[in-house]
Amino acid sequence: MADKCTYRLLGWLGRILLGIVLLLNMSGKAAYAAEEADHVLYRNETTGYEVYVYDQAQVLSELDAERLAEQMKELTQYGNAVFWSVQDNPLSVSGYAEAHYLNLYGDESGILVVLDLGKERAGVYSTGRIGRAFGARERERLASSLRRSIKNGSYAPSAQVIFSRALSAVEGEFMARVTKYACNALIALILAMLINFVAVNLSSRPQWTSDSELLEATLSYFDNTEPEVEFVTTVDHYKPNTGVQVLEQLNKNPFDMRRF
Amino acid sequence: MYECPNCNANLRFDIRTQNLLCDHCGTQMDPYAFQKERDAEEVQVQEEDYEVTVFTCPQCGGQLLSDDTTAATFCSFCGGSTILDSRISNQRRPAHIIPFQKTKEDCRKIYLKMMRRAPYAPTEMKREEYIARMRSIYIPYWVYTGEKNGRVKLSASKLARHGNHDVTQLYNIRTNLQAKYTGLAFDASEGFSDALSNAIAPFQWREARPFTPAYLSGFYADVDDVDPELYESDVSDIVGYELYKKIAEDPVCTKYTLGDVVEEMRPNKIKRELSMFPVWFLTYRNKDRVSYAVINGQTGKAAGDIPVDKGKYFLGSLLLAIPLFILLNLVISMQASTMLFLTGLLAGVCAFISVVQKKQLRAKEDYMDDKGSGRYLNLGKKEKTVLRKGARLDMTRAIALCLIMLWSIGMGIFSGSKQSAEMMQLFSLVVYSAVMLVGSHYVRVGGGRTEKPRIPLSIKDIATAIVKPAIGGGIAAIVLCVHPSWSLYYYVAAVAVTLLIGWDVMGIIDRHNLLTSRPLPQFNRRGGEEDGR
Repeated sequence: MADKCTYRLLGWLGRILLGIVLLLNMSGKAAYAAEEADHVLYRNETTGYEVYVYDQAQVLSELDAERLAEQMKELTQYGNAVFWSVQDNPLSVSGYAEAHYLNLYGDESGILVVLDLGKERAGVYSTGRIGRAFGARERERLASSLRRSIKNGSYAPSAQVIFSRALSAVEGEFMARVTKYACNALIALILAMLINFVAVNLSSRPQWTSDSELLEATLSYFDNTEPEVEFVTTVDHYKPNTGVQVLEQLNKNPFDMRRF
Repeated sequence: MYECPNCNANLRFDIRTQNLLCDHCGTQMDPYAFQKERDAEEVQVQEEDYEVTVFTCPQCGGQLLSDDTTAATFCSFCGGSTILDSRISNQRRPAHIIPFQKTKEDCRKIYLKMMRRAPYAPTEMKREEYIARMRSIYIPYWVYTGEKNGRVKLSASKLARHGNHDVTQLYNIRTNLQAKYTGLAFDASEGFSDALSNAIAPFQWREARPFTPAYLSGFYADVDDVDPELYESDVSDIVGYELYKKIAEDPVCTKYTLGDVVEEMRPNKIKRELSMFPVWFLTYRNKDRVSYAVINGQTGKAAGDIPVDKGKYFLGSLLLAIPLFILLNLVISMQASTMLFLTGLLAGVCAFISVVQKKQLRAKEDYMDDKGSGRYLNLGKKEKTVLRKGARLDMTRAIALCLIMLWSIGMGIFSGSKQSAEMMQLFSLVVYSAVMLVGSHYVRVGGGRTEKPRIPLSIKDIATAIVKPAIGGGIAAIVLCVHPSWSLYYYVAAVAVTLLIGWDVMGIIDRHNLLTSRPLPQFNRRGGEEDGR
């Protein structure tokens, strides 16, 4: 009888504990979601893409943040735009940018610009449509070129340059792709013309008849007596191998470095 | 003019039966059995601008105008075949003749087979009415006999390595030689280019027959107007080198290294005689230029300078470009800078081709491929065939330049994904361009078996040849140097470069057409150049 009551009591305790844990978890997620929502400054109603600014290192003034956000809004036609600043981080800057973007938006189209104050570098990650237009090489090159600006404290302008360039790239992507196809077509045509020229050159010029072919058509006669070989003289030329030459030089004068 | 003994109609030599044949009554006669009775009477006429011989046709009395190079022709009035006996009498009488073996129908098939390898030739050249204009002409040839009799002494050596010593044993090899080569033939007509006559060689000398004018009946024939001594050095080269090879293959001589003994092996007697060889001619005229297709009337070997129709060429290139375009887009993935680098490579190729073509045109203007033209300029110092030192050095240089070029191309293409790839590609492009320019300088052109000299081009000639590819290469280099971050700049630059290259390729085709044609011959003019200069 006492045992039955104990088990019942323990069961209820377990249920209460589980409830508390669930409650805490949900409130944590809610807190995180709420925190995330704090950093989302804009959401494009048409595309669903967002402007996300997380100035952990507090490099932006209010005015800077507004201006930057306005610029980033234009990118939301094509993908998410994220600005992130950090004092220091153990990863590479670009690795850090990639990890955080994937954590936030997964494989959605977008761009994340991170300013790492500790390393005094910018890191850029882009994917999807923005990634196709604003590729890894261009990102690296741009980030490297802005290093001095970041070192001098021009954080907001540096970020603006990156977002502006990304926007130009994605808006000009169609033009770039068309030009690329046109270029491929012209290169293919030039290659075809050169290949055809080689074929024409080989087939359209008279071929030279060799002397042996000319001789085959003649009436010929050849005879010779057995050759007599007469020895004349022997010529001896001293010509040591390269290694032997060096050794001989060393033997003659080991301290003379001029020969080397 | 050969008249049938039965019906007095014109007798002509029939290729199929190899006899004189009367088309009217079918009478056949052995050419050697026929005795000709009447000549075409001649009168020399001299006008202010030209000198010409007037013949009177023995059949109809019509007047035939003929220059000094014709031995047989057809009357414009009655169509009768007329042999101008005075042209082939006494000193100019050929000793032998090889009669036509290939009929017009045979040659038509041979010509069409040759033209199948030329899909971009003008359409007119493949039309039946054009092919029907093929003419049979007996061309005069100088036929040489090279003889070598007597004892020859050759220097030889054996090399061995003993420790740090190179031991060379020198020998003299003596042997008695008896050698004779009869039938080495070179065309004796100034109007027939050596390049074409060599291309349809050889004629089988064993089928040559003693000459009789009856063989000329029904054909055109030219007389010789080339100095016979012109080709004696070629005969000496050919026979000398052949004897050298035969001696070198002797079992005794194979144990030794023979020295440069071709001089010792040259024939000590060279004889010559005039002969008539059969050639079918087809002429294609394009404005003031003419291209020839020729067929050996004995063996059927064909050759020709075939020009290119630019429209067909462009269309053919468009068709070939389709699979290449698919390959570039779907299979090959290139960075924008690598694509620009590739267009720079193509510009280099075009520049190389243009410079070589300029050299070939210069050689053609100097008649370097036509010793018998009368305008041949021997720019080479010596005429040797064996162990040309210059040729060996050229091969070494060519290999070295090719290796450098391949290295620069590989470096440029495979650096595409690396940092500072544009700088590497710019460096590769500069190295590659230098190799192409240097390589084109060392290319030797010019036909024949004489030592091909290096044709020096002026700076102006080189500049006009490479101006378009050079501008294209410059654009590629500048963009690679600036290395903008936006790929659109690279693509736009690549488009500009390829348009320039395409323009240059059209110029390359124009030069090719100049190389495959000649100025219209002016046989009746006296003085001045054949091209009107």
